[in-house]
Amino acid sequence: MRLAIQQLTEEPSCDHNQKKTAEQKKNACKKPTPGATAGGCAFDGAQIVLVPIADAAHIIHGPMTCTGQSYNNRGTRTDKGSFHQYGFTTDLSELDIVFGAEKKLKESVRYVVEKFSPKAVFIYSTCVTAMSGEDIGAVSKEMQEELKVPVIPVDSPGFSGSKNLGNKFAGFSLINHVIGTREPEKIPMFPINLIGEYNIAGELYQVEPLFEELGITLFSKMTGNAGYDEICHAHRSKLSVVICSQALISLARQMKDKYEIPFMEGSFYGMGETRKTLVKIAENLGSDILKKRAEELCDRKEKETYEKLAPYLPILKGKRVLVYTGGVKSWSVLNQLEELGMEVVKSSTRKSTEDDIARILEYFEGNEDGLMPKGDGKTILNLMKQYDAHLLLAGGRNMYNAMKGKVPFVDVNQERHFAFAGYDGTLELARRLVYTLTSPVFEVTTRPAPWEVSFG
Amino acid sequence: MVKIIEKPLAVNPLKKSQIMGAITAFLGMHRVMPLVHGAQGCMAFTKNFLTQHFREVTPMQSTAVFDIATIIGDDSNLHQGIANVIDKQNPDFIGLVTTGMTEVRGDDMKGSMFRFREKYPQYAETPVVSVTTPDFKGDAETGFASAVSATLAALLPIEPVRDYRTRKLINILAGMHLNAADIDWIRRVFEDFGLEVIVLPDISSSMGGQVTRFYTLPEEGTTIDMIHRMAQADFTIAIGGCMEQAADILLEKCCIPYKKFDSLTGITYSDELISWLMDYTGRPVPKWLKVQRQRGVDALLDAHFSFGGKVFSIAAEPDLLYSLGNFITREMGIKLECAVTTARSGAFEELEAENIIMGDLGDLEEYSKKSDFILANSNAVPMCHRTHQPLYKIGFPIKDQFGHFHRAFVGYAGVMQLAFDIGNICLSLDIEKSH
Repeated sequence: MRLAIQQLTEEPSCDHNQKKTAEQKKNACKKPTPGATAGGCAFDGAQIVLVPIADAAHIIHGPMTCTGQSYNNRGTRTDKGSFHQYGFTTDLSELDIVFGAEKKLKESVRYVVEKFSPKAVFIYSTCVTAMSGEDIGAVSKEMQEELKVPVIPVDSPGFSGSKNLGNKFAGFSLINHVIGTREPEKIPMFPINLIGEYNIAGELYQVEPLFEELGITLFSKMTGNAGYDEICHAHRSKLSVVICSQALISLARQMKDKYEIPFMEGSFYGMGETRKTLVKIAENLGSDILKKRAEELCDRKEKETYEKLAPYLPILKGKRVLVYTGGVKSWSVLNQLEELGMEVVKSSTRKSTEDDIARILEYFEGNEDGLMPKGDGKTILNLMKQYDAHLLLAGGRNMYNAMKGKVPFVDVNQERHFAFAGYDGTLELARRLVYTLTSPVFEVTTRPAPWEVSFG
Repeated sequence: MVKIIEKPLAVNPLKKSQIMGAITAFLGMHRVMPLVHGAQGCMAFTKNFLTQHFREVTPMQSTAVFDIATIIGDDSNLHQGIANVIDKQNPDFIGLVTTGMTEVRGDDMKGSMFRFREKYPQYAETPVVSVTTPDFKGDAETGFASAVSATLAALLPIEPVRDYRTRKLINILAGMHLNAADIDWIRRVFEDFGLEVIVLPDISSSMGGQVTRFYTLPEEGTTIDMIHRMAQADFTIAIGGCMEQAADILLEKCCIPYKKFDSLTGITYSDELISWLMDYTGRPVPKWLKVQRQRGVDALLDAHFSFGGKVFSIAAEPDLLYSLGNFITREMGIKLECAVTTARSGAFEELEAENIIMGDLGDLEEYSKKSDFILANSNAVPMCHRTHQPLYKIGFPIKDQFGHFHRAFVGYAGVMQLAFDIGNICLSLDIEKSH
């Protein structure tokens, strides 16, 4: 376990690790400050990656907080099963912790397999079970042999790090226990792995038709709308495309080392990024015809989308946006907003890699004023006022901050109900922006109450 | 007879951990910062959960215990966490909540706080209320009750000054099952009987929705001064079985007698409260209450045609389970097939049900096959989708519906609300059948 953490935090492909000195590397993956933290733990991160695999059961070996407060809370959509809505937990009691709960865990696996017949079972360790020394690896092995169903251990105690590290733990489990365990019946012409796309609010559905039209097969999706089986044969893909720049790059690199599958990064937020990504995929697949086809498809789609955008663009033109999100979205969404004719006054840099920050700076033409460090709701609202911003684009956690400030808001996080990827997503984003910007609610609610009006 | 279904694991838990309950209680207090001593996930999950439930900013922090070194454990994270919270937010006090992880490693909170006070004299003015809430024990309601008890135990003055002449100050200990509208109703009734009330915790004022200002600490709930003043009250009303423990502290520490209501839902319990108020104050009943009682009674009469012959099942924490289960079975006359709950407390064992189960939503699904409708939280949505049973959302969490926090379930207002809501479900079932 210790070794795994070290290995994962010293990820060489992780941009923010490459430029570090030995001393900096020791501090790889920054530690949170007690009393001033935001964001989830490693266990949360592991779940984000794996729970979308909805035909596999996910058993959480730990006490109640880990499951009771977290299950059935993913915006991920799928037609492969319904286990992403289930919460399975050993719900440890004091006695379980004192005397050990491996027996209970084994019975739990048996119970779930017998009663729900999942394609596979993932077992997650948590802070408490990692501390009491439960060997989920051994349990998994034994159960897999007994039940003839794949049982995959996910070492993910929350205390080991941030969500980001948890994403990597999940990748670690996939590469060591899932990928390469099965051969596909047949291999299509252009099979690719899509890594880091979780089909939040159905974003995969917005880009899937593009791939279909190009003749590229999403051979193995990790893990939006993925079935367990398709991940088993990911080693037969010709290319890995990593959508979230940071989290699962280690998985793509390991697949390159192990199976010689090249990898690239991409994004589907905005028409420009979508084009860049599709063309780059075609290039990496080494087909000129495919590249030409991709360009033609993008030309056509852009034209169609601009036609559909026509009623919205005049309203959005010149509106100022404050972006408070993380990682790849902190820059990709900037381009998407720019395409809609909007102006971004500031973008946050939390959870961003140096590469991400460089791209944000590219947008602001090198002006570091555009960068915004971590701040609480108050800071965000003050900045909104200072820059006379019309709208806040952020995660659900900040939604109610925005409402306290009575400012228009669009949610771009996990639990959102709307998908913003590809061409259809850009159109949807434009609609959502227009709806909140033109809502009469803001005028009505900022009016003074009758007793606050002074009659001078 | 309470059943426990033999199975090795929980399937779709109904239970939330003590941490969630304790934080909810602290959110009902003015300018307190709930600080979770554990890995940051315990706080992050709970924050996400409560933010979606209340649709409000829910301030809380974590000591972010991290890494193997800290697991083996010194208390630097805890000390640094408290110091940072005081530096940044300057709360009136800190509600320190432990987790399974810190309990397993055996953190000595008392000793650690002693060392903190020694090391950082500059923070001496900020009280820290520490609650033991391992998530491998109890449920959200026990966590809620523990937080209220710990607050009283820590903050009540040792020698309260009392003014015996007034008989006018009443403490209301509001259980976790109460909505904002419930607390508002109770406060209005007491005030209209000429009494002054202090509600602890006052989750209505803090989480009921306010837009006058932005806040980084929960505001407008019970203030620390009010908590001090609770020692001078003449009487305590505990609402919900889980609040008895806190009422006992007021009794023992400040000699304040109390009356416990297991529920305030339904005509019987509402009448009991009003009779008590009439006796205690000797005042006439306010007119609006008389009108409201008539409306409640009328609603029950109107809706009763569709109640007959119906069967329902319910899953909730003990106090809410008892309040609603009791009213719907005894006063509406709908049969209770299965009642699922999370802990053995309160009066729920008195319910007349085919099955009372300590369990989860998986058990609810299995034992509610005959039910016409279900009462449970929004995690039961996928289940009700499978079984095609209407779901009336109650408890925690309710993530996919507006306004649940402003439905009253207590008093005559609650009688009317529930008669209409449950009546409408039954009525549409009848109409569907006749077509």
